[in-house]
Amino acid sequence: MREELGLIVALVLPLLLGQALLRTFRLRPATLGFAAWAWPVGALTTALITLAWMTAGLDASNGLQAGAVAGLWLGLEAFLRGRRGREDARDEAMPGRARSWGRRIALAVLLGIALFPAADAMLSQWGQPVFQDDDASIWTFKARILQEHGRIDEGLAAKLREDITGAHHLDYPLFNPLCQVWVMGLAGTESDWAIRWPDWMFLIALVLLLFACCGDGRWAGMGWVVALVAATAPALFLPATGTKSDHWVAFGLLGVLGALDKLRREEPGAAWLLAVGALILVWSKNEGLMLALCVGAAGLVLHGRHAFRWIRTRPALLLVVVASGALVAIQIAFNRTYHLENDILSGGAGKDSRPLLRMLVENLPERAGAIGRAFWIHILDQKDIPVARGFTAVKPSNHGIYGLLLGLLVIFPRRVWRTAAGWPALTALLGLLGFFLAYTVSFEGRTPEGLHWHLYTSSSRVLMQILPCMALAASRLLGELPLFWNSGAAATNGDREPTGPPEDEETP
Amino acid sequence: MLTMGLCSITPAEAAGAPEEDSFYNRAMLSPSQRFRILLAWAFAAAILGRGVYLFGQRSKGLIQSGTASRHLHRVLESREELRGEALGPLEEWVHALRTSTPKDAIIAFSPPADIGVALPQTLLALRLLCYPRRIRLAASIIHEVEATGAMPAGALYGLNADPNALPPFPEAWEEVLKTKSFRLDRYKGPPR
Repeated sequence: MREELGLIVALVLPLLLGQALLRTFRLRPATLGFAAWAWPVGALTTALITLAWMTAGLDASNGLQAGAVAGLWLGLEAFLRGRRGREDARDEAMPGRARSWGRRIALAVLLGIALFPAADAMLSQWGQPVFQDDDASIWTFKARILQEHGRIDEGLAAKLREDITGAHHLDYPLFNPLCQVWVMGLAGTESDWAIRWPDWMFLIALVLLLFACCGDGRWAGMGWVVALVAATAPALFLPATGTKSDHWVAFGLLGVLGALDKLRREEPGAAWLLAVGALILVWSKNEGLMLALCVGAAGLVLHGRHAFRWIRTRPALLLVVVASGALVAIQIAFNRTYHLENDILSGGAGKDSRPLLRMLVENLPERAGAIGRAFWIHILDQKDIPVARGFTAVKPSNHGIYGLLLGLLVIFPRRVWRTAAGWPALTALLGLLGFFLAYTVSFEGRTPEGLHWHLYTSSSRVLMQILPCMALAASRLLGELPLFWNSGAAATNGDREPTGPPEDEETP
Repeated sequence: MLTMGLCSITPAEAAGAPEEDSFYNRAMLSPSQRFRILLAWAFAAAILGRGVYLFGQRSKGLIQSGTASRHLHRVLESREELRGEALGPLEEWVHALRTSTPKDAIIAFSPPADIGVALPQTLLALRLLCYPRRIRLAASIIHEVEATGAMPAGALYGLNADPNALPPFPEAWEEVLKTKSFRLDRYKGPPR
């Protein structure tokens, strides 16, 4: 019973802290976006507090940092109470889409349906300890080492070693393991059945955010349909549900793109959401750092020099860059302190010591076909895929979301970049390219299974990270299309809003 | 015309005028644009319809196979039962190691002969679930002893998946636990 109570505290405290932080950011409560962001914001802050706690030499193995988390939450509530008078007046002025009861009921029904497969995936793992796959060898093993030692000090160096523990990739970002440390600290060391909850919460938050972002466009209903099809795709929940960080990356990427949209509309709290989304993105997994660069590169490619002007007029964006950079620097410092290396960046995944660029050039002709074929299978959403000679595997369906976006881009090769779909669409394309290049330099003699095996086992999971972003781009693009094109001039641009950040800044 | 990366806008647009070729400038669509819009809707309807159909089929399968009642049963089941179901024969080993060996123990694990490709996952599970105890293959410890002439430092235990097989130099070991499926020994030191 003590363990169950500990788990409830471990889940509720970050939620309470998260909602208080969102209200501090002046986000409108009781909206879908608010509900989606509450857990991730709280979990991120809790992980940062746990990191600070452990770095200060205090023991986190017993969950005592909960006092600091609760203290921060209570402090924020007191601050918000003091601000309430002004807040009410401001709340009235907050932009928000009026929703009829019919729309609310429709949204609730669609959300219930969308969460059904995720609930099925979670209940299938209910009560089981984590002991297999990357969940165990990467994420939970690192969490277990940190939790057992309790502090970040010199003694940890002797334990953070792959050769004596059997753990893998100990250099991976700390966010997910710290959340597991938090759960284990409160629910007890025997709570290996409970440590899936942080990822489950992120999966639920991801589905909510998908609906919030896709429904935030010009045509909410169309956005919800695309969100429903994406959220019920097995590729979204089957390969990653457990203790992996892929849902966290997907949430961070979608959060960043959604916040950029809000920032363009000058909605309150958008810069904070952008900052939090960026922190989640870069601190969840190394792919997140790559995808963050893709978002930045897409902005620069689409909006050129106007992107810089946009940044200059919104100093809050500096917060995003500084905070993300600081968190990446902390992660790098941690890895350097404990001599943990990324096996791709340290000279090519495993035993290959060629420089990265040379490996890329030399591997590309040999591997491009195999990687392209694997990606093509995902784009066409084929069911059975060859793993090795004589072996096939069932690939979880992505419900054709990759194909949908790429098909729409073929139909509208030029104009899409001028719409609100441009930024997420180009980010998704750059993300695909990034994963293509990552597979080109990875798995070089590292594992006996080889590239093909990895392509067909991990590609579903890593490509899932851009699936919500693709759904967002597709929903934005479909939302821009006229359903009845002969409806006359009444529909002509009278209500148009700017489709990209720089355009509303441009002056002749 | 101003150029902004892939986007190019006219001075009029830059001044805030609406884009002339916006998707929703419906009055000015050319036949080719109308065709492409129709094509896009047909394509999107096909993909989204297929997605909804696949989801419906899967949901139907889940409902027909009694998944809901299985899940309910799972939620109501005790944690020990769920743990036993998930870990299978590993559960006994993990329990024995957690309760009968100190946290700094080194465990020399002799896997069952028929373990085959399951060995890496078995080792991973034992290492994680019994952490901070160090689980090593008995064969690798024997190699190390042969090479260095010394036993590993620390409390050494032997987990033998065959309860009837005795460890090398049996007199050096003391039986801690023996069940039908495994035997746990503690290394006492070299025989006198």
